[in-house]
Amino acid sequence: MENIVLETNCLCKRYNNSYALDNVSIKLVKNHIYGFIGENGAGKSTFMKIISGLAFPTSGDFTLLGGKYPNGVQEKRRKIGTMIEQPALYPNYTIKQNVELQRIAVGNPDASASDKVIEMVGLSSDKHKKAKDLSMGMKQRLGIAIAMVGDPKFLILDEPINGLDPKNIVSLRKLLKKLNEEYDVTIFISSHILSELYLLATDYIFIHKGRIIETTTHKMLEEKCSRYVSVKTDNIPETVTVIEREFPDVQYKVVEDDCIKVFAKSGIMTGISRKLMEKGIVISELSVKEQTLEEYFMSITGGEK
Amino acid sequence: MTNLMRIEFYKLRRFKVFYAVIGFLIAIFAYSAVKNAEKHLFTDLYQVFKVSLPDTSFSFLFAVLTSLFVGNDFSTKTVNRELVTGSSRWNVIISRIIPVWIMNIAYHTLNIVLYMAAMGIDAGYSFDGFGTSDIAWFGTVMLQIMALSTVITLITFICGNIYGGLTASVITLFALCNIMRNFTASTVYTSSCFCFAPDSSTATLIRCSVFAVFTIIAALAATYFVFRKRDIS
Repeated sequence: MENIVLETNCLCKRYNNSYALDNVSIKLVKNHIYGFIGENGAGKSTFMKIISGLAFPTSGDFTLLGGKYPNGVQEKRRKIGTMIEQPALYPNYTIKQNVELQRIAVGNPDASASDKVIEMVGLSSDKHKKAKDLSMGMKQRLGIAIAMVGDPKFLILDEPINGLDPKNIVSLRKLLKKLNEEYDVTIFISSHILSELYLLATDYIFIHKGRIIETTTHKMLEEKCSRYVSVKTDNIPETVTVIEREFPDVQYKVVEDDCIKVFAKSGIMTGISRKLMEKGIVISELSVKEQTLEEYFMSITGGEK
Repeated sequence: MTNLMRIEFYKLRRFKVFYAVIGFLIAIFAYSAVKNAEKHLFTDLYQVFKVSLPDTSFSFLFAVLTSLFVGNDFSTKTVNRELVTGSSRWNVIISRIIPVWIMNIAYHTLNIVLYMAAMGIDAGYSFDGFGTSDIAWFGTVMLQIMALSTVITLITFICGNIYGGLTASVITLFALCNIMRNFTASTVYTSSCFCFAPDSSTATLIRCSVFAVFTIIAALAATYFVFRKRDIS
């Protein structure tokens, strides 16, 4: 139980007649990095807002760092860092002032904490710049510094990569990995840039229309995102017939007018090519590919026909 | 709670609009001191005090100051930062109300002091005539200012943004003030926080104080009711 950072129990959030969250029950374990994946409006931000105290569930409850909702979580929220949607900044205050105010709000007595987190996110040289004069990437980093100043054990980040250039994305990834590995911070992060999440997360939670449709570890996902053989030919219907007849145990999916994905080991390539050539089908491409997280997400949410 | 108060007072000390309003008052009274010099509008300083204490000429500025101070946190979403640290909704309200009270009391006190300073050039600076009942009178007017500030804070919390709060506060106060003045008994209007206690008689001060305390409690309760379960976008 000590290892559980967050456990939700049938969490629901209803707006008028529609459910933004529908019986969400998940368990987050200490020291992991969770990628929270879903489309716009899937319920990611609503879930994060409920956990961090910006919204209230319609029903259900949760346990955060051992404190039970509703009364037990208030104090525990001091030990979490949050950045939901865009960083909330005082535009006329400097980077240092913005972080310092949050240090006071969370009650961190260490006066040097502000400078430490500002340095951690690489904003030391700009700490006297006003927040309104910062670029998008700098604002995002400042948002992370604000989330970090309370020395949190659990970090909730909603779309922190938004608006960052590739260089900043890499530095943010390194920072989050460092926080997780060196400071034992559990991270719960959502992003639409799934390729980036794939490089960062140790676990994934997929949400679709307010429901958790799958939770998996990075390792399991790697297995699930198994390799497939991409076959492009001039006659897809005939190719399908050959695959169904000659390789009845393999799964396949027609993805374009001229392309089929055959989910099997690469050794099948020779067999497919021989059988297709015997039937006189012209092969324009035959290659082994790996399913990306994006493709996997699309396949489990029915986004790809 | 202490932490939140520290933050709000930090912000209050850097609240530029407040300094701009004070500058505006200084300019107005400097101008009026020059213009009314040697016109003998007042015979002594106590007379100036009696006119300036219940004066509501610039009370619309309470709405402007309060809405800008409280509403800004909704518009920049910085109120979220306090909520995610586990601060209770009640503490968030109180940590804003107290600086707002102090700001508006400071503003009105300065208004009186500047007026007395300006008119004293002609009327003299003798404190003859001032008595202990005037302290009670001053206290009652300050209580009424606190009540007015709490109502404006409530309106700003309902609106949940800076300009909506500002507009709604000014319009609501203007409408309420005129409705009470024109359509209710004069004792109701003169007891309300829209008309500061007109004199220092015990009956007036008690009536005005009771009304002000009731307004503060009702407005605070309403603010809490509005905010306690509201989802923050």
